[in-house]
Amino acid sequence: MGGKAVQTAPATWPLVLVRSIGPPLVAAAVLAVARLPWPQWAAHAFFLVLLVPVAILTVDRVFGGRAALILGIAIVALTGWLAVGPVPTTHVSPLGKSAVWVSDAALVQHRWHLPLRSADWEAAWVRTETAVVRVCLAVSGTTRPAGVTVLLNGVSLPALERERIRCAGGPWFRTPVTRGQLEAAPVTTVEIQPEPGNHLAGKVIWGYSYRPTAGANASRYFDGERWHEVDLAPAEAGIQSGRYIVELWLFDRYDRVVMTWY
Amino acid sequence: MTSAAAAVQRFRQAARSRLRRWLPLFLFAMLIGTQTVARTGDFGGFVDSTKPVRIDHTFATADGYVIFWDGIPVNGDAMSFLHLTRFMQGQRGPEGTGIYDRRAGYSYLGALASLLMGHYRSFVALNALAWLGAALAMYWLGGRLLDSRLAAWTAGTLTATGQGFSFMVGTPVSTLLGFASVAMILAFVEWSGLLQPPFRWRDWLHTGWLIAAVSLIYPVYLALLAFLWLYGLRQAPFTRLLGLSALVLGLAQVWPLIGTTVVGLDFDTTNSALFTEALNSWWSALLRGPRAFLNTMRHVASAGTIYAAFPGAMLLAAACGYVVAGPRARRWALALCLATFLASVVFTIRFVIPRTAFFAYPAIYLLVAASLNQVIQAMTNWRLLGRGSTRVRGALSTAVIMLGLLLLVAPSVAALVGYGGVDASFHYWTPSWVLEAAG
Repeated sequence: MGGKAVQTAPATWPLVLVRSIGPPLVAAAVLAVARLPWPQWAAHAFFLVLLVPVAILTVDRVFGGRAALILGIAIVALTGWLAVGPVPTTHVSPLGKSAVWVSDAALVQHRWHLPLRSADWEAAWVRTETAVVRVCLAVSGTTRPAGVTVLLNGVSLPALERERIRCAGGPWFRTPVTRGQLEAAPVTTVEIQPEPGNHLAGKVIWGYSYRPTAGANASRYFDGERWHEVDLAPAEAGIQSGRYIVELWLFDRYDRVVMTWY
Repeated sequence: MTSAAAAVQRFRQAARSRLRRWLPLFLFAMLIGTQTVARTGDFGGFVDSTKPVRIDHTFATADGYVIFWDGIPVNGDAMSFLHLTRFMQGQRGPEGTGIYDRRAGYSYLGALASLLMGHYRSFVALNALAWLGAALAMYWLGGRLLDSRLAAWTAGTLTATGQGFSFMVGTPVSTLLGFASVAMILAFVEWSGLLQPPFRWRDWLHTGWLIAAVSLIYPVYLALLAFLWLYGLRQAPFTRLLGLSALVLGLAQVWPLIGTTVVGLDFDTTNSALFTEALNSWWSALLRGPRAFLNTMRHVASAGTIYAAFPGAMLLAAACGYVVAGPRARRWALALCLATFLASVVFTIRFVIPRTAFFAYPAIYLLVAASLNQVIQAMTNWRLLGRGSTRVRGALSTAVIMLGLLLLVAPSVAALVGYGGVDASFHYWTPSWVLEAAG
């Protein structure tokens, strides 16, 4: 145990240095020939000068010249690929986009399929002191969102209270709800709509939906004439899919989060 | 012996020797690969633990602090690295890349690796490879510092199942690479004989360059410098230590300089401000007088940064290991603990983030290895393993070691079987005094 893997004689140091510096220089030259934008080339050149040679040098000393050569070739090949070949794209799902109410009759709807009468549900309520519907709204200024009504299974809830904490794209708002109201129907429907003449009071925030309790189409939009099942923000160009940020949060007596559903 | 029999024997010896050499790589790769697959996406520790029900916060949605890459949830911090990677790949400009411009080395590696398998998978593969490198480095260090094959296996296995690695492997942020670089650089320092005569300048410059390269990935280079001073001051020339430190600190500033002036990155210092804020808090506690300072110390001590980073049994075993380890291993581990815990203690006044203390894992795991080693030696000496054949004694020793390891790593693999509480504590420990104060 503990022996050195490869001992490099001092005489080979110039060669080791050349092996370490050579490939990064070739890679930088490839990027220069490919006419990368200046900031991008400068960033690559920096890492090719400061990061790559020391990695190759270390591999060379510890594992030997063959491993260093392979690493050097891999760096040059990948850099060349990056310069001329296709690069991968990743779709980042939106969070914090907003949907405006287009008329007084417009409303947004989100459904929860709560695990009523399940062990999780019962256990959560043992600790729960308060239950609230939390909604993320984009509103102007610091005022309460006067003019926005929240209905739970068709029954109007108390006015939304603005929280100090911000959600993605706007502040959080909350309104209390009781266990009885939540257990009144197997599927809970929450609707948010502006009061008459006030449809520009705010916008509801929506985002990518990961695991809504009511499935992929848990949210939908009513523009006053028809329902939009897939497009959450019909006033915007293109299809805006996901879910509105309308969530049920349970808190214990220390105001710690007990459970959340959406 | 016939020539055929001799050839067979030679072949067997060669095969045994080759197996012995490659077995750690093979077994650690299996262990790490399995955990990596199990800890991606929603099952990642740094994703699951951000859910409000896990760490009690109300700022994010019920999904937690996550962003979705091609439908895969990743911790929100990863976006900065994706922005930087996209910039390196020519998909966007250098503006508004976020708060991790200093750690752009990770994105540079990701920009190259992602050509092979896409962004998310390449970052996870980089993490897994770094984890494997750390496990092998610890295997080597365990054997070197404790002069025991058993200690080597213990240190390597503990690293290959380490809570910090398991927690971070599925998340495209540079923290895991930071964890891994500590073990790998410590192994290099030991391998190159840096702190032993003749103290060749080329080794010091090489090590300094390596540590400076780590600054492009995670700010743990300061702890590595502190370790070299603490451990090396007694034996290494002052000029070497000074020269290496100047090289590291100088090179570490080159990227921010070039990044802002030439590349055009913003170098948002939001995260750095938190560290300054923590230092200011300590300073103001000091100014309030000894009593207030001691009270702050008491709160920090009870905050759990260290004992949420390592399970209690692990710390206990490490403490025992400290007693039984040889003087060199003891000094090495103590220097590393002091160097790595210092940063986490400074931070604790502002945030209780156990992962900052996890950087001490090489020291803790090495001491645990020393401890288990001693247990086996003691059992052998006291004939507690019976008077059976060598094979039986070997099997019993292995069983004891396996049982010990199983107990020690159980908390860190708890998340694999659906228990996320350990991850949540590792992410953000909520000390009891905070709850009492709030109540």
